Amino acid sequence: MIEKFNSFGADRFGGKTKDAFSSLTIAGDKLYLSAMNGFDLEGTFHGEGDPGVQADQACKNILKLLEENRLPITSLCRMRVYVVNREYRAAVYGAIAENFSGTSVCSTGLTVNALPLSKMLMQIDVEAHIEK
Amino acid sequence: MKTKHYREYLAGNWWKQKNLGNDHTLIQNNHLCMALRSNNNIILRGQTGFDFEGVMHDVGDEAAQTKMACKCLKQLIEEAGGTMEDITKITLYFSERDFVDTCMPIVDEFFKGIKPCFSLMITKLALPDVWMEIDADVVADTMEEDQ
Repeated sequence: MIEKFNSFGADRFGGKTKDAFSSLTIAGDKLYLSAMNGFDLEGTFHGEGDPGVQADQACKNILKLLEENRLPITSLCRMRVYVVNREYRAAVYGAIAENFSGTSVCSTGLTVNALPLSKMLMQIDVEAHIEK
Repeated sequence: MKTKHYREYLAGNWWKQKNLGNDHTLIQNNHLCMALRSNNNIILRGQTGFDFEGVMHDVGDEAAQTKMACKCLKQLIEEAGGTMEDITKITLYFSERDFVDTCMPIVDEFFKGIKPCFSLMITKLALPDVWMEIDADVVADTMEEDQ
């Protein structure tokens, strides 16, 4: 049975359904998270024009989702960090370092052509496991 | 449980027969499979406008490619013993940002009620005619022996 938490709307990207996607799904000991960016979990966008602020918001979302499910930060295993401009890496990774202090994760960094909305300058996909 | 491979194929052969892309974009004789079951994990290839026979449908129509990809995705999951409800996350790739507007209503409709996690980015894809691709993470509810 897959547990699903903190739904958000596809309307953000041109769909209609208000609860189309989950921010977090749990299947056994594996956690899946939606790509996190400048949107907070209530759907307000933070840090327009500022990749560092967007990264900080993305990390805060991840930490909040873990906390709400009583999972420690050490549950995080891997992150894939996407930026739309290589120059944003310093600001983005700075915010990540600050938020994810207390653990270390495997990281993949990519510069992509674009993200779904022009105001989105960065995005993080994380994978996490429940420790047993 | 022994890992099971579904719909194995030789990618290079297909694409060459069908004159897709330039020679340098084609991969050589790679032995691939479309789905794989490892314990209760169902692993899938990135699904695009290609059908199971290697025919690329709807060149120049990202919405139709999205429909084809979603339809094939569902069928592969079911062939590997899972259901749509077992999808934990989908990751979409589009080659142009404009396609978000034309394809997201289709994706929204197709995954209605499933509520998977969601990721989306705009990037170049394998061949010039491939305008979208979808990856899914799937964890089946039951071990295959239980079914």
